[in-house]
Amino acid sequence: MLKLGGRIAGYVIHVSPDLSSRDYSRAVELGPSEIGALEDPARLHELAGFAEVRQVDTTDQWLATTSSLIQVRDHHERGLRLAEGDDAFEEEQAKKRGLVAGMTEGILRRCLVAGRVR
Amino acid sequence: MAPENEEIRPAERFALSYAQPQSESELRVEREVFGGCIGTDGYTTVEEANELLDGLALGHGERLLDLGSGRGWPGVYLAKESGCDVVLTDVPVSAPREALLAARNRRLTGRFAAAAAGGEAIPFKSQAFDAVVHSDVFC
Repeated sequence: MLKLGGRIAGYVIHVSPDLSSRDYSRAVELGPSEIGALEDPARLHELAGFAEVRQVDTTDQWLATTSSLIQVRDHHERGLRLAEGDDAFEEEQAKKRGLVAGMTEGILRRCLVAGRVR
Repeated sequence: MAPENEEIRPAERFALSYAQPQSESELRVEREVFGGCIGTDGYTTVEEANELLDGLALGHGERLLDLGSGRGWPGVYLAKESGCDVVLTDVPVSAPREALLAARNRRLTGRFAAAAAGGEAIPFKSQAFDAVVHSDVFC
C-alpha cells in the first residue's frame, strides 16, 4: 500500500505485556473483539518491516475519554436507549466499563504507534 | 435485527450502527466528550488526532489511506488540516460513504474517496499511498 518512505501512524488498543495466563484471559475478555496479540504494537510493526518505529503509551488519556463517555452516555440514557435500543445501549455501557476495569487493573493499554517504510 | 441468543458479529454490529444517521443524543454525547461533532465512534480525541497530524507530516497533494475509517474520523480531519487527499476504507461501506457525504457537505477542499474494504484486502495498487492512518482498528 505504502510508497517507499511512506508513513504509518495510529492508535492501538492492546493487551499489556508479560501478563499471567489468567490476566491475559481477563484482558481478552474485557478488551475489544479480536484483541490478543502477544507482541506489543511496536514489535509487530518492526516484524512487518517498518523502520523508525516509535510507541507512546496513551492509556491515561484513553481512561479519561472512556470514563467521560460512560458518564455522558448515562446522562443521555433516555435518548440513547431510544436511538440505539435497550440491549445495544446496555451492552455498550457494559463494554466500556469493562475497558475501564482492564485499564485500572493494568491489563489493557492504548498507544500511539508510528513507523516508516524502509 | 439478529435473532435472540445469536451473537452479533462485529461487522454486523457496525452495519446496524452505521445504517442510520446519528441521533441527536449521540451527537450531544460527541459534543460533550470530544468538544464537537467530529464523526467519531472510537476514542481518539482532537489532541490525539493532532499528534497523528504531526507524526505523519502530511503535505498538500499527498495521498492518505484511513483504514477502518468509520464515519471519517480522523481521516477527514487530517485531510482538512493538511490539504492531503484521503481514501476512507471500512466495512460496511455505509460508514465511509457517510463520511464522504459529510466532507462534501462541509465543502472541504482536497479530494476524498471512500471504499468498502477491510485490512486484509485493500483494492488499490501497490505503493499507492504516502501515508496510512488507523484508530482503534488493530489490536
